[in-house]
Amino acid sequence: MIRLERLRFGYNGGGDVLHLDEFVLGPQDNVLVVGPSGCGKTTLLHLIAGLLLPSDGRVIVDGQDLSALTAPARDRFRGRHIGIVLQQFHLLPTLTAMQNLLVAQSIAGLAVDRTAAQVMLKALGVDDRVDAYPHQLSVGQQQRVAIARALVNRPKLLLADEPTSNLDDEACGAVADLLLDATQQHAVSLVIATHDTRLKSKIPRQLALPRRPAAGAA
Amino acid sequence: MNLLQLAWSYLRARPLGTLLNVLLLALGVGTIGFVLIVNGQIGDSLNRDAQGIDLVVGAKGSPIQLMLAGIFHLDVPTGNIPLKSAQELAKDPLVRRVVPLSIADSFRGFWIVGTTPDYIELYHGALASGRAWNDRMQAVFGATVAAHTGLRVGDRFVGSHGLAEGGPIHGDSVYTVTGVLKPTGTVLDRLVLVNPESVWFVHEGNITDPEEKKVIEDERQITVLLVQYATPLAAVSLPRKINAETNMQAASPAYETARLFRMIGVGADVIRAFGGVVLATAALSLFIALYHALNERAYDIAVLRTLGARPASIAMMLMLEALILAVLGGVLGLLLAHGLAAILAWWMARQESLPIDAWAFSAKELWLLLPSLLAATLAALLPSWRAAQANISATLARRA
Repeated sequence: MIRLERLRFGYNGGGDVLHLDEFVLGPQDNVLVVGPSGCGKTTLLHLIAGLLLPSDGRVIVDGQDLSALTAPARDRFRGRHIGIVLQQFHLLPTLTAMQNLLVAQSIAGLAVDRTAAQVMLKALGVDDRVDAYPHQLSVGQQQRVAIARALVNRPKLLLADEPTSNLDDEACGAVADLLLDATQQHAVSLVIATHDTRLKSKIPRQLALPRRPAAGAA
Repeated sequence: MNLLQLAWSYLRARPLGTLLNVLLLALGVGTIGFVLIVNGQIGDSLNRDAQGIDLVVGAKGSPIQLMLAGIFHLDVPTGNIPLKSAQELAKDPLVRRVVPLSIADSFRGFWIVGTTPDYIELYHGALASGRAWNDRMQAVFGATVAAHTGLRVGDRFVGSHGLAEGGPIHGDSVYTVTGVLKPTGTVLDRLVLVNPESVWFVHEGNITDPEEKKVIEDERQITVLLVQYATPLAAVSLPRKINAETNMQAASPAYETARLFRMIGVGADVIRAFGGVVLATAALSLFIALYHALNERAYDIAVLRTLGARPASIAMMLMLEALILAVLGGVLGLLLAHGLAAILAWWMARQESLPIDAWAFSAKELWLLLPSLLAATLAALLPSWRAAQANISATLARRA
């Protein structure tokens, strides 16, 4: 599902932020990207998502070399094949839960399918709040809607950036279970970037990024 | 849930800011549109009234006043001219047709004009009821006069001297309404038409002594002579000849109207410039709102990018927000322009002045959306470009 080869990333064209020789993630495999703050976890996630391009080396997602795509094609690829869950589970505040899913379909250039969105919200257990705006939802409900949005276009890869960092133990466990359940149910590979050691018991495979001496922005 | 709906959702989320920008755009467009509508309506109205009149001849004085009084009946006449001079002019080979007007009295604010049936024909007037006059002290009402005074065929009335309603009344000279004209959309609607003998009779009284009658008839006057040229060449020599060789004055309606419009035009330009300033303010306000939105929504924009939105789509979203405002502001501005014109029309109708059809919409007015769209586009240009350029990875990393 993911293949990283001789990956280098640096803000000055070098490899000063991230340096990774090889990494392979198979279909429906899960991995935890761990390491101290500033080691490049988020950078790696952004490289896999095609939000950043490597200074050197290749990022291949689902058989597609991201560097080989034009910028608009990369955006479209991301919209259709990669689901992303952010730390804050950020929903677009002016749209309802349902509209947050529909906008994800529309932006990816896919047909707006209300039924599919409804099914996904039901799978995450928030189908009773479809017309609620984000500020009307509890934090837990917002997380569920955000995960539903990440999965609504049926991606094969789900990326999550520090999804549990601000949560207490109970909520942390709940979110982790939610992500794992959803990925299992929809046959999705999951990459979680985190410094949260509580997740290690849930996902055995780990990619540890070492602290770089010249580490810049994460 | 396309970009348009997304843009609309953001506008709905901050109703006060949206309202302010729509109102500013509407005010700018409305002001400019108001000038355009009124200018067009007045121009049309004046052109209709001046149609077929090549030259207006009257007493010496201000040529604009002569034209305003002689053609549009918006001012008091410059004075009178001897009937004999007018009759002489009518015989000039350069003249095809003349229409004499004797203006002295009024009825409830409407001028009573002594003239020939040619005058009605000039404006293609037709009777709605009754018949034309065939003797003195018989009157035909224009459509507006009939509507405002409520008088009908067979009713009787007396004129008062001058235009003021409280002026001296010619109490012993009673007119009878013999006919009412259909509306023509011209000055004809606002006039009471009688034959010239009526006007003379009212002012001379019933003179029986034949010698005295002869003297008075020799000294008879009219107010204005409307002239149609026999040939376009007349325009070159006839006005000059009249102005130089007679004690009358000739004014060209086309020239004087243009001159009048240039004078009014300064006022129109000032109002239009005001509209332009308001539009510029609207653009600035919109620019500030969108620029704020960039910062407020940096994370939203980043999320949209993670969902697969292209930079161009993000730029388009902001541009659409501006354009929605522009269309709303533009349409509201057009309504405002017509509303203002309606107020002016109401006021002018009370003054028995030119008619303005405030609610006549023309497709040409859609051009008025253009300044609104232009202002919005200019305001959105930089914010859209900035939004498209935003470093998504950095925005997401800052929050993480």
